[in-house]
Amino acid sequence: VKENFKHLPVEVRNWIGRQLFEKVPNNIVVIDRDFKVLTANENFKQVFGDPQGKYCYEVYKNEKKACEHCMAARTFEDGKVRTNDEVGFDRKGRPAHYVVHIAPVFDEIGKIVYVIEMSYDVTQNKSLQREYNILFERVPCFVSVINRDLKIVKSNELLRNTFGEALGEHCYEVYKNRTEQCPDCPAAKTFADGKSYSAEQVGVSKSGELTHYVVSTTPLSRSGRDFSHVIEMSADVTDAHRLSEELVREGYFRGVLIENMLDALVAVDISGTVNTFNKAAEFLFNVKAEDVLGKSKGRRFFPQEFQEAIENKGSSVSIAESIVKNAEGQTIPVRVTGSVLWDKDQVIGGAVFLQDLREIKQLEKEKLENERLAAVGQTVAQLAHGIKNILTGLQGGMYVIKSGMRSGSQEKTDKGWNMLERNVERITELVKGFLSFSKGYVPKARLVDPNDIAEEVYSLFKNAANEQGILLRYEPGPDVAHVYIDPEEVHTCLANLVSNAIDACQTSENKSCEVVLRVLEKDAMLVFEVADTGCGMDYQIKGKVFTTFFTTKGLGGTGLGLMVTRKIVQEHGGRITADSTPGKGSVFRIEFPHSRLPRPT
Amino acid sequence: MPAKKIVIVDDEPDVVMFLQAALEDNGYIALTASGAVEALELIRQAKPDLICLDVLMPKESGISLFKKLRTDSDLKEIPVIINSGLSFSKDIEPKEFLKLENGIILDEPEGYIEKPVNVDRLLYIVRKVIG
Repeated sequence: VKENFKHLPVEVRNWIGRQLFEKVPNNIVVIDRDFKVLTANENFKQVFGDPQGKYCYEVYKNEKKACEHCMAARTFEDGKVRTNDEVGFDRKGRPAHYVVHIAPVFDEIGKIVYVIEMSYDVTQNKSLQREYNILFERVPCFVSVINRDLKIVKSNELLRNTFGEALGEHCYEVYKNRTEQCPDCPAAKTFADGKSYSAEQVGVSKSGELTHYVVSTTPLSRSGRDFSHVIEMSADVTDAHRLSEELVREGYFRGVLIENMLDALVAVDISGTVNTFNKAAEFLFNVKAEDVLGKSKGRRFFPQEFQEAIENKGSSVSIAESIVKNAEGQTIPVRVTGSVLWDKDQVIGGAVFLQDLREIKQLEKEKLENERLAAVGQTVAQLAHGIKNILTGLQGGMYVIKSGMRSGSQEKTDKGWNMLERNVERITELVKGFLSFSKGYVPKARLVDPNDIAEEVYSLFKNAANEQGILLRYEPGPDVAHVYIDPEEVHTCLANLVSNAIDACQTSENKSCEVVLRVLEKDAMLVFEVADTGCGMDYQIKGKVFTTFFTTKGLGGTGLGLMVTRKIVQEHGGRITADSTPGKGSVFRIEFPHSRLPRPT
Repeated sequence: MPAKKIVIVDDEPDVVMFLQAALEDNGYIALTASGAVEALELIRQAKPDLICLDVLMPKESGISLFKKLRTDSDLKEIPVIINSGLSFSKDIEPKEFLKLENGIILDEPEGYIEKPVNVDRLLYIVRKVIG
């Protein structure tokens, strides 16, 4: 041994001879055949305390007698150097893992008199190992170590739980129930070039469910560049995969919905770039989606009100009727539902649904026209009928004149002449009324408060009613919206109804008759009501009031009043109904659905 | 043979005057009423041989009066001619107005005349009914 040191400088030799024992960063203790500590170095004392005069088992393990499988005892017997893992307690009582080398010390005659135990602490390594073990076992990934035969030599908990006990089996059997290596196997590639690979895979769990995972393979190198194993770590992405599949399905569904919906849908971002333009929008604007998608100035497809909502950073708008212009510059009526799109506190764009109202408008127009034609048709048929009374009067006049002349009665002849004159006048009135009635007429609608019209009619008739002992009352509607109607025409209607009601009261036996003129809002309709407690009408009259040149006022009426009223009401898209009980009174009701009233032009 | 009495009920004075002249010229006695209430009183009192009845009248219609006549034991034998601007085939369904609420169906009027009145037809029907 000394030969080894010969060439060393004297300082080094001295250091080895005198200080190595104390300075070496290992624990060294010398034990005699009774396992009593002869001496220990500084490091040892630091860990286990001063062992001078104690037995080694006392020092290491707090035991009262020698350990059962004492390595030192065996070295005393056979003189062999031994290495062993031991767990003892340090001087603070904490468990200490250490690796101990036991070497014999011979005396001159070759007898082993002492053993030297040199140990180093591996407590920290052990705890690291434990941590890694926990990590390996409990990490929420599938982890396996596979050898060059692609057999699994180690697997973690999640892998075992998901794919079953896997040790010694081929990875492809475990993960995929395959009987041979997968094509493009990342582990095989890692074995070939030592690099890491990752790939997306679909496996089959032990319960038979498809399991999506992303695997990455890394060479498991214990020392140096050579490696015999690959570690495969796989993250289960089944849920993510399912979500993304759902997202794709959802996206597809939404796409189909958007493309096939009947309303036009146009969405633009804040810069005005169009990102949605469906088939209905193509049809409405007569523009191909491919010509506008991704292009700017998309807001031109929005109605004015919605453009303003975006500029004013508003929220949603819903407009019963607005207009947009198509590619040819034609104005198209649309119903609008628009949403200003926000991201937190910023406007990021807008989306608008447009319902093409052209067809509806056309239908509405046709319906109104049909109703008008029907009314005119009825009127023409009934004109002849209504004239019958007058004709009877004319015939009567002629007959009475003839009869008077024949019998030489001047008085009778005069009477007949008067009858002729009166009925010619009646027919003149009727024709005038009828001409104005049959005139094609478009209501001159303007925005008015319906209460104002009713109030005017009320003040017009108030005094006349009073004078005849009839109480005329007026009940304005508190929540009645302003509407587009022709105020003069509606005034005519109300005046006709109130005048009729007063007449009904006059002919009634009821001495304290009352007429009420009401304005109200009901079921999205503007309603005028004229109710009286007058004579009422019986069945035969009720059925005829709106359709016949029917008058119960003798020579006082042309029978046109209610027909004119009905015509005006119909021209405003409304209807008129009557409810009456003989002797109790009548209620005439004019209903104007808001949706059918004239629109501002 | 005494002249036959006819009650004319109509709210139109011109019609009343016309029918009155025509019937009187042909030897009948014509009494007149301008409404149903007045007519019923007149008929009870005068016991006419025939009633000539308008339909559409204020307050109470001719149909209503017709029903009263036909259900009155004293008056139900008096023949009635309905004289109206309404057409009996188009505007009024006889089955409807002959039916009472209690289900009884009245005898039809003895004649119908549609306005405007043709004097010859009027006299033809009147003669046919009461001679």
